[in-house]
Amino acid sequence: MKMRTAVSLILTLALCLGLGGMAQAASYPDKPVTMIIAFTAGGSSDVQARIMEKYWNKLVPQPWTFLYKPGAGGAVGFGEIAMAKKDGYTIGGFNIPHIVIQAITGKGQFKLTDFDYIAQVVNDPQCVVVRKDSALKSAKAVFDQAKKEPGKMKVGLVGPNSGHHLLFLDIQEKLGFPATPVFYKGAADQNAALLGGEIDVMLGNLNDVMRSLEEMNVLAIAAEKRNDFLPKVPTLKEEGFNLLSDIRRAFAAPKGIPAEHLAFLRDVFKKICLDKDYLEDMKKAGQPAEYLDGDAVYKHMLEVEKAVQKHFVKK
Amino acid sequence: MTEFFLPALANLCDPLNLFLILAGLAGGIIIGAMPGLTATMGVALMVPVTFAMDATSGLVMLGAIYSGAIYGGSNSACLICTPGTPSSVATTFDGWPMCQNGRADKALVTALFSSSFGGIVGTIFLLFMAAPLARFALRFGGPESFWLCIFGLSTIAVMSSGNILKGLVSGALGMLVATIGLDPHTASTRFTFGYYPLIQGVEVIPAMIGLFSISQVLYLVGSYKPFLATYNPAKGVVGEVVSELVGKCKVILLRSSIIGTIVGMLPGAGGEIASIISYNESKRWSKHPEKYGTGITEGVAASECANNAVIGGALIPMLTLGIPGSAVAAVILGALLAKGIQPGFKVFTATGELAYTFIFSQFVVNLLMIPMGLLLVKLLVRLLRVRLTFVAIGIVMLSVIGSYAIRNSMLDVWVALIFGLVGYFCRRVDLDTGAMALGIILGPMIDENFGKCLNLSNALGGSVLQVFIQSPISLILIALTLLSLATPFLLSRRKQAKAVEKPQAPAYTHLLAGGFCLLSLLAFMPQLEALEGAGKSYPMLLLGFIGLCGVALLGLGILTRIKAKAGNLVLAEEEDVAMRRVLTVAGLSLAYIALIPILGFYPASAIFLFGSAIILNDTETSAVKAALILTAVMCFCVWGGFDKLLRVPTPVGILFD
Repeated sequence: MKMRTAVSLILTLALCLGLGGMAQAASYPDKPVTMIIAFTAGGSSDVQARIMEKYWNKLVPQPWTFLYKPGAGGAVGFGEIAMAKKDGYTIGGFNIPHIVIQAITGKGQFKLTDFDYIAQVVNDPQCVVVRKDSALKSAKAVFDQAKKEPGKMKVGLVGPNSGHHLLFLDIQEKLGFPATPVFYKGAADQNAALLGGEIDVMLGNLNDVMRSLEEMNVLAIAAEKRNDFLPKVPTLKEEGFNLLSDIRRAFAAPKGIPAEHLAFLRDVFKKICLDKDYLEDMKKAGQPAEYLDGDAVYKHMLEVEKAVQKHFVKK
Repeated sequence: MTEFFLPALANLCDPLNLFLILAGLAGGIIIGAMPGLTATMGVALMVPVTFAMDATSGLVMLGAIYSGAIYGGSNSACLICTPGTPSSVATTFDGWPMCQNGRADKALVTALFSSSFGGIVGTIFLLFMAAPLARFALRFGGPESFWLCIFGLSTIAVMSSGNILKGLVSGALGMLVATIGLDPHTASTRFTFGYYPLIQGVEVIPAMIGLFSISQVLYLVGSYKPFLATYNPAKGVVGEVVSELVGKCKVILLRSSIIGTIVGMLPGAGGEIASIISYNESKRWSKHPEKYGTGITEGVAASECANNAVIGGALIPMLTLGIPGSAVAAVILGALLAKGIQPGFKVFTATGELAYTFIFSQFVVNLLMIPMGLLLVKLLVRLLRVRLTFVAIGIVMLSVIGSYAIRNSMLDVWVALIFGLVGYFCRRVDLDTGAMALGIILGPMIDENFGKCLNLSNALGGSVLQVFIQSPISLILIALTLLSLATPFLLSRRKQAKAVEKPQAPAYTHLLAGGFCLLSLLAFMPQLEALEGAGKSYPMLLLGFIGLCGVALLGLGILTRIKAKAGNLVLAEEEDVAMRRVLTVAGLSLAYIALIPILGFYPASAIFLFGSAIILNDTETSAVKAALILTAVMCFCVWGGFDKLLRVPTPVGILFD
């Protein structure tokens, strides 16, 4: 009898604690969550986050408050996330490899260990692109042509010290690619330069290339597998070149927010990322969705870190 | 294409769309009139709202905000000499003097009709010539853009005729300041003075708010004037303006619209460049160029017409190629893509109904702008009846929130204040703040395109010269630049025929200006060593130029002093300035900005507004009551407008949110 009372007491207590714990978890967030965007309002990162917002609002009673902190290629905003209060009420979006490059080259006042990673939401692979009327019909033709007349081929990149630059250096290292890089401020300028004939080839992100598909030929894509947006375009791997490169968007909180808040955020983001309507919206907006959980993102970033160390850090 | 016309017109008659046009237009005008709130921000803020609408309605509304905001910028340019958006810098050149002459109504109405006209011409180009114009825009690569910017810069020579040395060095100082931040060639930090936040660079808008708004506040407070300007409204001002525009301004209107459309099409170059170029072209071809800057219709018309024509131009490559011609067009493109609409030449066939509804809506927007603008003019001129001190204090608060709102950064607020003080100093010593603003706007584009040309030259075996002059467009732009540089000499010859001796600026202005140049040189010089490549050679060139000009100005100052002592010089009379009041406002503003991170925006603002109104009160009666009213009205308007309506965050303090 006593034993039973004790057991039931313990059980009740455990239940209460469990419920209490659950109630506590359910009460987060009890005020709006600040979402830091490290680029300007209306930009690609903003549009993506706004699509997510729509689905967040369906799952969580508290909205996001957007806070734009553009500057220095994202370094200002990323730093802002790292330095935010560790209460789970400030999170933000960031881009890979930008954040890795900035952390290593000292452009940002943060380290990769300053963040708790929530999820990756976009994997925007880079493409080798030429004008529609170009005589170059494959990635191989581009690489061969560059070798035939060293230095003559002009390759447009967004940069310097960017994901595009990283791929360019990677190609140079692996294949010997004696082309001349030309740096642009953004994808708009880069696209215009390709269409206007100022450059012969460009390394551009799928999301940006999609805007001007009528005028461009995408020769190959630097991804593991073909992309749904352009199913006919082969990967560089298929063409026999072991080159992978992409720009990814992900979300993070400052390191050290309460574990249950991080778990909650990770869970909600995962639910959004697997939502069919969300994926449909992303596809319409030309944003190549790819979900990875927080730990997988960090693992990927460590891989990128090695490549960045190799190419951008002066020995 | 005509098969889409009828359904497009039907779409426009939809009451919801008409309502959205009116609301967007009104909102846009207000956003544009506020210094610091730009067209880009207005449109970007409304993008999420469009997610809930169908694509057509959303696009129509964004277009209305865009046009409204660009027009709206002219209102503050005319009334308080502060461009509401960067596109209206050139409007201040004649709009403000016109207001000072007692004809604020004429300035505002001229701006309104010219904006509407420019907008309509731009839209006509968009409607009928989008495809060939888009192809043309593509021919502007690195070298062409470089020369376009140099051409824009050369207008300084025209702007500051009679004072070319100071004009040029002001431009160079602006360009120098714009090199702060990350250099575009190697992505290394440049001129951050060891202060990390400067890595984000000096943003154009806070710098302009400083150079124009805050320096204007200091100037006004020190001017002993009771009101902004006397105001003598004339009956039938609309008729007067229309007959002047149709009469002597018709060529200017057409030329400015075409300049606006072309500049608008180019990625990177927007309304701020178009309006300045067309202002200067008007002045160059005018029979009486000396009247520019004294408050004439032509000046206001040229600038405002061009910046609204930019809109049609900027939409051309955005719709046809997916390449936005301006920052606002980029945001609209984002909204389009989010709706799953693919830009491209097919946009006029595959999604023709949407495209033509949008284009037609631009006509409607520009026509509706006229009645709405006229109504607004009636309201705005009442500002001239508010005592100047209160207007000035109010402008400080708006400048603070406006510069903060650009990037949600307190650094930008400090930038605005520092540029306010620099701008005031520059005015006192006759350095040209307009040229400086031009340098800040064009500097980064010149820097970037210069680097691009160096990149391109590598593919030609290192022949930089060849890259710079190989295209016909480059050659034309070089010729225009040379012509532009020669203009002041032609103008002064024409003036000499009229033989009026202009009084000389006193010696101390040259000495101080020269000293300022050399100080800037000393501040930047030591940091040059850490730089390399194109990121170094460009600022080095600028510093060299500034140093030479500084020495020349010192020499000029000494020469003037000697001549003045000998008594054979007519010196300009010194303006009487209430220096104590100027210093008080500067000190109060400084304390205000310093208090914001501690107290939070609203408490700090309330203290600043109330305190300044009491301290600076220049009437005997009811200081406390007036101060209370000012504080309440300003805080309420900013809170309602920024926090509630636009949801723009305000700075947070430690003590209060």
